[in-house]
Amino acid sequence: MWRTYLRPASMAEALDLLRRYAGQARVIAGGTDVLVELSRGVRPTETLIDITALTELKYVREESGLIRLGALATHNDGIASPACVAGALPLAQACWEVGAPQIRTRATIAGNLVTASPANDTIPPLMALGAELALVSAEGGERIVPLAEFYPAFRRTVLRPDELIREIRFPALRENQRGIFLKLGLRRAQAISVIDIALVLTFDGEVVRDARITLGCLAPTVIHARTVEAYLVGRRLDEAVCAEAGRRACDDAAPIDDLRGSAGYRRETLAALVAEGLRRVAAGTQAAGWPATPVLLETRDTSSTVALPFAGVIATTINGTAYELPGAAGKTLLNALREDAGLTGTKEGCAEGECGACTVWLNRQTVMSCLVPAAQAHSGSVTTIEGLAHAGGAADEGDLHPLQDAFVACGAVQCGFCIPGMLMAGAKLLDERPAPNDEQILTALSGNICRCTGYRKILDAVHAASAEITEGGAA
Amino acid sequence: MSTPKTHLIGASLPRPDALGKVTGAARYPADLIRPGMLHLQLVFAQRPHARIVALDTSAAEGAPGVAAVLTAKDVPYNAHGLIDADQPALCGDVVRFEGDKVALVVAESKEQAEAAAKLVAVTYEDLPAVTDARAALAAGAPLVHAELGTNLLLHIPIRKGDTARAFAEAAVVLEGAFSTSWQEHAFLQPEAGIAYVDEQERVVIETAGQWLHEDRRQIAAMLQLPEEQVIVRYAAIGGAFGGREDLSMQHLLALAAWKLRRPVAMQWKREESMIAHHKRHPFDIRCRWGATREGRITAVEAEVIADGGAYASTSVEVTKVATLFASGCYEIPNISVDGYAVYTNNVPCGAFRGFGAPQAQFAAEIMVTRLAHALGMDPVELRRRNIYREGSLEPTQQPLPEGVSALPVLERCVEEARARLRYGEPRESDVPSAPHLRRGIGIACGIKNVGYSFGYQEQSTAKVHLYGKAELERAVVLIGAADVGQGAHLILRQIAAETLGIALEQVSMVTDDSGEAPNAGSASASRMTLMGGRAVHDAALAARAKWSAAEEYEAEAEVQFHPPATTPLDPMSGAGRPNYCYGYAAQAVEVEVNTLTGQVRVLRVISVHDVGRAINMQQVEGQIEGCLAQAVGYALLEDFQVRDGHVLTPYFSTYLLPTALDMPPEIVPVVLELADPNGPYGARGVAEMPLVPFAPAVAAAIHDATGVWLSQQPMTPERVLAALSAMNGQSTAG
Repeated sequence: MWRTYLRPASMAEALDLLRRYAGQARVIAGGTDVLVELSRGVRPTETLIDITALTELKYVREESGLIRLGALATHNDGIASPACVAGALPLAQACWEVGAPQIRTRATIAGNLVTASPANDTIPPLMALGAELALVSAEGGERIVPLAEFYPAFRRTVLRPDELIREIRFPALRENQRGIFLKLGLRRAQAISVIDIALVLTFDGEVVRDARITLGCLAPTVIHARTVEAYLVGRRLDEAVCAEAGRRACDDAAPIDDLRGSAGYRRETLAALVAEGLRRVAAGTQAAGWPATPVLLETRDTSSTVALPFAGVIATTINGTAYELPGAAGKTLLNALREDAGLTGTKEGCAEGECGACTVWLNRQTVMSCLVPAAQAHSGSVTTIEGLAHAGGAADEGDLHPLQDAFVACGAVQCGFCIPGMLMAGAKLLDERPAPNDEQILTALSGNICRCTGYRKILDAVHAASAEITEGGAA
Repeated sequence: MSTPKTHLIGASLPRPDALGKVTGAARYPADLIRPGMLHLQLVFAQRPHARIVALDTSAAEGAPGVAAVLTAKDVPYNAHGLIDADQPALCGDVVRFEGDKVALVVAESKEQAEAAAKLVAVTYEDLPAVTDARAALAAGAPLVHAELGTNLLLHIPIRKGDTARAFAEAAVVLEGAFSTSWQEHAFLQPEAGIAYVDEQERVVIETAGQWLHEDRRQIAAMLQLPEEQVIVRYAAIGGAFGGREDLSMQHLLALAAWKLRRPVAMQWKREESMIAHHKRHPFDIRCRWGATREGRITAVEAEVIADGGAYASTSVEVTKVATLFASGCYEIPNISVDGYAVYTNNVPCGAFRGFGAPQAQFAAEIMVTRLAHALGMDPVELRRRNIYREGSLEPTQQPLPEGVSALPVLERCVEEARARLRYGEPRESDVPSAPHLRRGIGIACGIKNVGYSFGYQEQSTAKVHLYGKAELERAVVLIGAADVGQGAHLILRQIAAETLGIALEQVSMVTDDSGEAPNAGSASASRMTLMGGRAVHDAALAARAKWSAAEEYEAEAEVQFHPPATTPLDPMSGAGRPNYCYGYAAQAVEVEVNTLTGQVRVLRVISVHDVGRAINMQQVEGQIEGCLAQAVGYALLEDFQVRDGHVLTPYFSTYLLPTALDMPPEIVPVVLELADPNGPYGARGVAEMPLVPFAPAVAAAIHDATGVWLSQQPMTPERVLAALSAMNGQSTAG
């Protein structure tokens, strides 16, 4: 899909490459959007500039009332950051509603902004929070652009071809501010929004002093609901005001018909969502349902890994064995594993990050290998289904990971094609929390489609393995 | 049937194939691709209806790495199909849907094949397309197959009694109009395979499918070779659900290997799979039901129209099944149903779990519940009074095959629903904290044939080799039965071991090679346990008798099992004996409807089935639970959108399947074992049945929760909200 894969080691080098390629290259980090677009011929390129070696850009922090997200901050970073949950709940909620765990662990928030779809979930909350972007380039240095001015038109940004988003920042919510993000999707996980909204309200006691309400999928770009924002100022959020605000929101929207819903459906549900959001903010229940310890499917580890320079030949460790993959620099990790490493246990079901059959572990993360450039495994470590038993501590040839045993015993395997990916996700969950509850298991597996089992026996198997692991540990 | 001791029958033995599937060792078709093979890339028509004016392959042939570009002129007999051979392997003159294939590029690498495919220059003259089944029947409609002179593929009438008189005398008469949409199988493993010519000049295809011997028949016919010269082998099969019943790429692999005399490989992308293989039929159903004051359903009149798409596939049989079940599982004295299968320029439709039964009974079951409401009667009571019993006459005027368990299945379902869902009790407020969330309960019944119907020469053949001196030491069972993931190989092995009185480990299975294993028939129609199982059972008994009598070390027997014969439907009245076995189901569901967004969440499902006898209880539950996931998708979520012959949802990001989080939190499979007269140890099929009552049960639950009836499947949030708005608008206006 691409010919040249560049992995600059410093910001200066990255900016220099961007300048030299002058719009002919694309920047890649998590790759969850870029690889889907490339496989469909959208914004094609021969050259990828991978910025993931710029580990100094991977941060979420709060400094004197300002929350700062580095360009490499992922959706999981947003979810796992106490500062973000406390000071930017709508953003954390939006991050939680994106994709599946395997996507959230890889996809960056900056990438979500750059893809620039009006359906991208983090745009409305960041806009409502008043975010601004620090954009850098080799020649222009750094400039600051408010997010509200970042999108001149449908799927377009003001980002210049030689520019990179370095940082996203916004003031943390203060004590007199509350906010919420609500999304209407067509299923309970991995759904592109039909509509989504973010609310950030500033109160004087119970009276609204300022309202920022942003709407996704309701116009060519994410927009403010200006009519409602003005209407709410000076009012108390009683039932009548919430309902009226919902109705007025429709005046601010200009939705279209598409595959996910008609314009009429969008308007009708917009009214309901705005009213519901206001009710919850008024009642102070905006955080209801936020998981105390969200499932991440990644090992949180702040120690930074030093990536070796990449010079065209991938040298990586797969299941504890060193591999050199000279022909794989232009491939996805999935294809490199199957075609170059000869490890066919990892399956291709959709090649767009929707089915999870290709799930493997890359370094500390659980990833969909169809959306990972193979070169990102350079100097890293990959675990596939073939290595799961060993990774799970199996000592002898033929021993299995407890979850593999449980899948066999519980009848969780029918056609079996989804099972390698399902096991890699499930085993990472058990690493993350050895005794998960139903909700955590279902969330962890929400990125893995099974068409045969109805998931019940898979759920049983995770519980059975959990019992085995926790009891085994006690014994 | 004798019922000997059963230490293996019913046992939830773990599946032997699971080990390879949890370690990554199992080889699916795409895992068979090896360095040095040629790679194939198809050129699809990407337009619904057009004449091929010119086809220039020279640029592609000259591209790097290209070994050949095959077109229609390279196909010895360019037509295939399960029933009618009406589908070209590669189109030469006309393309009839966007997934039609016009050229096959063969190159040294996948990338080279893909690149060269873009260089195949096809000049089309677009023809008017017909993409609506009713429009296709209108005079002057564009013809999908001009030589036929009509788009009508089948009209089958069923006539019983005197509906005119019955409607005149009925106390309540209700009309209904229903539509159902396409459904995509979405097996997780996209079509793939390899093929080569072996040292004995046989073309060998290693792939996935549902019926080795039928694939072989069609491929041999296309290549004009004796069937013995074609070997079809199945690798591990990544799901099927009816979607691998038609040929997809198996014949094209064979063609390329045969023409080039080199090993070839092909692997479809998901979007190729989505546009190219057949789908579940959309149906348009208009009907009228009448009942007496006492709750006797006396008349059903229906028009049942199936959009068959561009090629025949199994449309004729699917439509007959839907026509037969247009009156559900109820004994109704006066029936007049007309079923039509129609060619259009949409994606072809064929087999999909349920095979016409879910569509027909979406309409029928909703009508029964509506009738009950109109009569002021409990919907369960109305069902009870009319449901099939032993000896009931079918719409085709013959008694049902023995083993009618519709009523006990329903009664058990009601019992469970009372206990678990408090069905029938006055409901307290739904969700006090959230007035926009409303809960409701719905119950529906279902019927589906087991095995092939309407006079098909149904058979299954198995061979058993036995070895042993004083005692049986081991057995080899040969049966060409596809394990598409449903666990057939373990089931057949359990039956063999039980019948022979030996341990499971002493039985080995030969199942995956058309040259070695005899023809079990298709892994479809919920038939493999009954048909293949009975063949294995009977062959095991015969082999054992020979072995006992001969006092030799070895013995073998081959048995071809035939179930009781069925007959074709009479073309004027539909009279006949359509099936030899039915499976019966009943379900109760509880839903929660969000009245602000139209979203419906299924909270609890009770799914009751008579499986005759569970050979492996864990696998039976797995079939019920897995089928319910597809039923959840079918009822609420899976919205296969097609406009003007173009599939708008060819990706998993646009065609949404249920995730783990979308499943009902509580699923209660209830398995009755009321013994089938023909099945091995009394077993009958179950794989399709959970899909039949589910959508109408959900519709009834939505009605119970909100007062609106949905008549379009899938019942998407937008449709639910539109129905709620229409009701509220009416009540405001009224």
